[in-house]
Amino acid sequence: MTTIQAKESLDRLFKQAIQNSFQGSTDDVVEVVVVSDDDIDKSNQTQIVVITISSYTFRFICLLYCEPTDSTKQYLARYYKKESNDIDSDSLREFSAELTNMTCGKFNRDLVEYFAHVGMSTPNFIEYRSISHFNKLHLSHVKHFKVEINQAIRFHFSLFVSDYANLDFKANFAKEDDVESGELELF
Amino acid sequence: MAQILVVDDSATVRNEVGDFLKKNGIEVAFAVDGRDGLAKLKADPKIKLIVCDVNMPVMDGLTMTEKVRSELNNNAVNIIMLTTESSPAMKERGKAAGIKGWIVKPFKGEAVLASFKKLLM
Repeated sequence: MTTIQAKESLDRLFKQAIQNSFQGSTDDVVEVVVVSDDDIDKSNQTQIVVITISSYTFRFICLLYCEPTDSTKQYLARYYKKESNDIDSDSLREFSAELTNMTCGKFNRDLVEYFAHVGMSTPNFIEYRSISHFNKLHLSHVKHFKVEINQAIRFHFSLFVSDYANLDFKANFAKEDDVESGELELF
Repeated sequence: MAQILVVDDSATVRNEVGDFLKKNGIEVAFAVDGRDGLAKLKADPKIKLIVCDVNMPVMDGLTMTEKVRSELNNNAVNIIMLTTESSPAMKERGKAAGIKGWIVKPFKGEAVLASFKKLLM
């Protein structure tokens, strides 16, 4: 069973990770809001990246939905400092996979504060129809998020929580992020 | 003959890091996972620095590091992890295997270029 405070903490940590990875160091206005499943585009063209974060007693399944529109292509090209015409379908897959990796990486780093043993997968791709089988995974919590950049570019994320034992924690959001990304820590 | 080997399963990261290093006059080779990284290092003994992801299919970056030291007996090459991970346990494993440093993604070239150049001397 996942407690209410654990669900709230996971939602907020995941939302924070999305905000963090999309904002980067840009001046973009990034808004992340909770939405219903109906808000997500389910066409075959939508690329769905999946990353799992797992421990002994739970598994979090994180999905990014990327619609191959001109605006998302242009956004990803700008994000990865490429010319727009570089964005073919292979590049779109690569960019969306890495963006998911960055988002889940931040989520994973925050989770390490509360769970000693968590491991993150590499990004993979799934088809939308596979998601209907997730209910076999003992889901205790599902939340969908819309990311809107400059009120023009949209991505969606989903967080699925699968637990095998009691899952309870309360995230401390007053704590400063002590990981400085991009800096070299020499040993 | 490359100076730096970039090991990452993401083509986006390989291109991002590789393009930056090349623009700064550094010769770069690439590998797509730890096993590929071992093969590339074996084939090019001039490589002085490896910039390596942790989570990769086939062979992860920490396992690759351990094999560089134990199987290739290469204790000279410097290895820096470039990853979204930052758990103390992973860093300890990396230190025990002989890594030189740790960078949490995203890669910010200007922040690390001077250190990379020192490690190439």
